[in-house]
Amino acid sequence: MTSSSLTAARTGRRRWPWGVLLWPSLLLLCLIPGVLPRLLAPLNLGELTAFDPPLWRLTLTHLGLVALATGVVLGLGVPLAVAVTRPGRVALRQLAETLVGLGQTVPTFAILALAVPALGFGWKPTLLGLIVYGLVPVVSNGIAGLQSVDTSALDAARGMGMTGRQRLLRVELPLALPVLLAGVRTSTVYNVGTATVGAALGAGGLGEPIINGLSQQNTALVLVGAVLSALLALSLDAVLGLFAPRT
Amino acid sequence: MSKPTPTGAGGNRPSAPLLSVTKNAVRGDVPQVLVLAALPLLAGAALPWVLLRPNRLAPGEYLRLPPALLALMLVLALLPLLAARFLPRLTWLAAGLAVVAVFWVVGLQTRCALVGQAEFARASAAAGVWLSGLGALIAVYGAGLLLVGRQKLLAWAWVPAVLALVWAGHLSGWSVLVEARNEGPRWVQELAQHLRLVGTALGLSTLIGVPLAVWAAGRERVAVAVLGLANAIQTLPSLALLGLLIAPLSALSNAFPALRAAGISGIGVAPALTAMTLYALLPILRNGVVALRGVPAGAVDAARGMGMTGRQIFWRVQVPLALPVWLTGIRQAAVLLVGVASVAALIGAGGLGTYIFKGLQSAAADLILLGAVPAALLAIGVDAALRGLEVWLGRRFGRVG
Repeated sequence: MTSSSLTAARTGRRRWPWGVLLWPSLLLLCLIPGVLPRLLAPLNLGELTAFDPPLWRLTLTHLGLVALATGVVLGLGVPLAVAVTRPGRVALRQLAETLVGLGQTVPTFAILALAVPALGFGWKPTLLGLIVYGLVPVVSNGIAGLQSVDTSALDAARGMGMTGRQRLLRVELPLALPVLLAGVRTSTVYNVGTATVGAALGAGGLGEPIINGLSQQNTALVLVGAVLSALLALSLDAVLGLFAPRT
Repeated sequence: MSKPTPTGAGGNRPSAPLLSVTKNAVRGDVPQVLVLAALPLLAGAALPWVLLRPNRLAPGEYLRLPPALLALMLVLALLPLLAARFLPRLTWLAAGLAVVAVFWVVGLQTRCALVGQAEFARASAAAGVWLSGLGALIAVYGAGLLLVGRQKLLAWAWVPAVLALVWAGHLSGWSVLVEARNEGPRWVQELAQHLRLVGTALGLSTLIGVPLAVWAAGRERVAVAVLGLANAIQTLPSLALLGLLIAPLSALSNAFPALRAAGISGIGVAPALTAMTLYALLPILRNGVVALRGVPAGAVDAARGMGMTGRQIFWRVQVPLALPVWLTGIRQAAVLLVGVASVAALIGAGGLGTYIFKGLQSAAADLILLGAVPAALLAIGVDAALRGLEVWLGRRFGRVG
């Protein structure tokens, strides 16, 4: 059953995913020292001195934060979605859905800032914010995917004598996988954006040039951070799109 | 009851299940939620509740609850569970009491801690308060699931009680409210500025986005291009987008000094408003196109068959059918704007973000709370209000359509 649902997802994609090559190579090109400042020089927007932590390190910090957050989100979100979709837990599922809705509504910057009094400055509050915010699409898509599993498929599995655990691992999760993966993709890509805000809390990353540029009125600096974080988001979106088609 | 439920691109909220079977299932499962609520309440009671510092920046000492109050909080932690077991009708009261008690104890403890301290001493809420508050709110949520119809309002009974506590000055010792009192009218100004920014940007983007969506929806290739662009831009970080949108403005003011004199530059209210308007344009445009193209062709054909003119078809068929999804887009834009407006303080546009940045710069947690909590509540409030409007309009136009 796993292979059939996966092949269905694969054949559903028609076009060659050219973004997988384009965006990462553009990102790498921009990370070569001196390329971005030279490209931005003709626009005459502001002065760009040498970057103290080099741009590739900022990018790696950024990527590391997002990857770490996504790992934790997967570890927490999937079991949570499974737990609240078991029969006899309707109230818990509604609670989870309400909390997820709240997480979607509350501004990211507020979530990040509220973590500072508890955890101090640096990458820790940012990571907490990324986890909280990243859980939203994973849990909501996980619940939606597991809820949409055909009851007749579950009945058939029960009729075959599968235990609850077997049904979950062999029927429900494989069938819910495409929707779940789409949630993971959304969560990762959004977190690239959220992590830029983390620079305001001293987490480093690609938000640093943006925040510095905005507060020093140096638009060129803003553009450096904006272009790089946009390219990073587009690259991750394209790469994850290989595994998770947009639903 | 076959009302089409509006489903936006971003939100897959549950449409309230109205079958009596599911309702009974929910009711049976509520004790699980109440157990989940009791855990943080119990843990919170054991943790420190007050952080007492000689001034707002210095490190301080953590104070726990005295035995009597500890016992009170432990009882209140278990009360909703007991109520659900023996007196399900009054679960809301038990849960509401827990919320009010958290606020009451915070007020009591912060004021007690400040007795005999210098004027600059600050008593702020510590981990126990936040954890207990979380548990109490979950309990209220669980209790709300037991109520039906109009009775649901009872689950909000704690709100006037808490407001009364604040009004009576019971919480005046809490550091956040001390800070708020010091800021006073300035805080109100920043809140108003926040609302002005969000309102103006939302109004402008609606004015631009609605006709644009109507225009794009009628043209196949334009519509596809708009949707593709909107999807691509959605992957971009909002802060990056804000920066990118400010760049052309500041380039313009650099090139033409006359514009700079007219107040257009890379900093201040004008660039923030421009960036926010463009930012909010996306969901409005995208949902507008999706909604208008989602109107069933059969309905339009039937209208044409009835002899309606193009204008009649648009106003009487397409708009009412497209409205729910469209309004979802406007709601998403409004909620996004509340968040973006708090970052806009960085470029000197004011708003509640001012306090967040001030607090971050001086490591003053109270200032951060003073900005972040109202911003979060504002977003939730705007979301709820527009959701209500959607339901109301959906009902109204649903009958006409």
